[in-house]
Amino acid sequence: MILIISTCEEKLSELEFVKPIEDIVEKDVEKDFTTKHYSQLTKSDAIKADKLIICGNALKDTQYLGGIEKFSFLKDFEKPVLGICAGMQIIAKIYGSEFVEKTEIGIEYINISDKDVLFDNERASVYQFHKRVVKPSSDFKILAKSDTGTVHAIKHKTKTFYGVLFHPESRHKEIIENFLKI
Amino acid sequence: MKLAALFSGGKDSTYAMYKAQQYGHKISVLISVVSQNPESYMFHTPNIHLTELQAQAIEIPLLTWISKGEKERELQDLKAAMYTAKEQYGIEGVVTGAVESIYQASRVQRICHELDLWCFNPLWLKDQKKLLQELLENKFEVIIGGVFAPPLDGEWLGRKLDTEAVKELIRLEEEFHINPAGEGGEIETFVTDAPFFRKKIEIKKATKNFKGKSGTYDIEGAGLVEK
Repeated sequence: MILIISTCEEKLSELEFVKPIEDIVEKDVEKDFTTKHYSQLTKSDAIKADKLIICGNALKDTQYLGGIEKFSFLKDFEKPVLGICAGMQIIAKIYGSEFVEKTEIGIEYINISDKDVLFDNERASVYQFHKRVVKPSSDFKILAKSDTGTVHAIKHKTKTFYGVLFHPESRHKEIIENFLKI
Repeated sequence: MKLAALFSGGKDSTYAMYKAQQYGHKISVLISVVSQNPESYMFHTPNIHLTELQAQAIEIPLLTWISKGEKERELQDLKAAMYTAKEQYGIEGVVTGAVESIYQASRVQRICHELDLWCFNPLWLKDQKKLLQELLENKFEVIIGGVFAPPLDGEWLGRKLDTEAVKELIRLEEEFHINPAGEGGEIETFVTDAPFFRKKIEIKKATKNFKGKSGTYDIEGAGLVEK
């Protein structure tokens, strides 16, 4: 079972940031899923799941920044996790990374230095919108950066935890499908 | 939250606004940008002049902004309209009917960011067949206001999107790879009634203009009637 975690402050935003992820997971006939808002999340929810996907949220959303401790179970969690945008920020923060304020909106090219299991190509145009970017701690390996130097994909060095700053549900759905195959 | 709806009068912007209302938000004002450029990437829609009548049917005020439709200039026009909505109506965000166009969505996101507004796109990446079915289930009355790709022909102009028409569009998708909800610009639509309309729109006079491979259903006379 895949646990999809919403980080949206406004329920209406879930149609934009959570529903498209559910649609991708639903197409994979072998995968069932359940969706929970991060504020309702317990460690036992995560333990019951095979994989976690932590979704992104609206550009003006800041509520999740005050709730990152809800994800402290990730410190001793071993199953695969994919964090998208805010989800990447959360994973990175739990492992001591820093945020840098930087607003970027629109299509951007990224260069993939390590395809790992997520990426099919070495360069991709992605859809990004964020107000803060991640300066990853030494627990992470950088998989992709944009032409402007923004870190766009990371992987934890010892766990199957991935973070992407752009929105693969909008462009490059195969990244989510590749994650589901792990 | 008080929101402005970016409103073209077509099915997507109208349904997005309905979704926002269902989730407890108040639509305080509608914003229509009328582009004088028929090739506009952002705003061109046949029958955009009738958003005023639709706003009367919905009973929500409308801010109309005329834009010359020069490529990036029209974004400044949209920004001016959204700024005015914020000043006059105290909106905290906007709701749009964007489904797949990153070109449009990213530009609206940027303006929202500049004006410190929430941006909601409740139809984003929504399955197109499901969107059409939900319109039927929720008793939206929608007509085809323009067709821009073969094999859609003049016969479709003015046609009501009922169960039969939706079935046919889905069949055309399978055969000709046409997006059944017209997100690729194959179809433009016009909403005459929706659950939150206080009155419905009756079309009294219209002309079908079909030339070559595209056409529009130009509404020349319309009025409000009781539901």
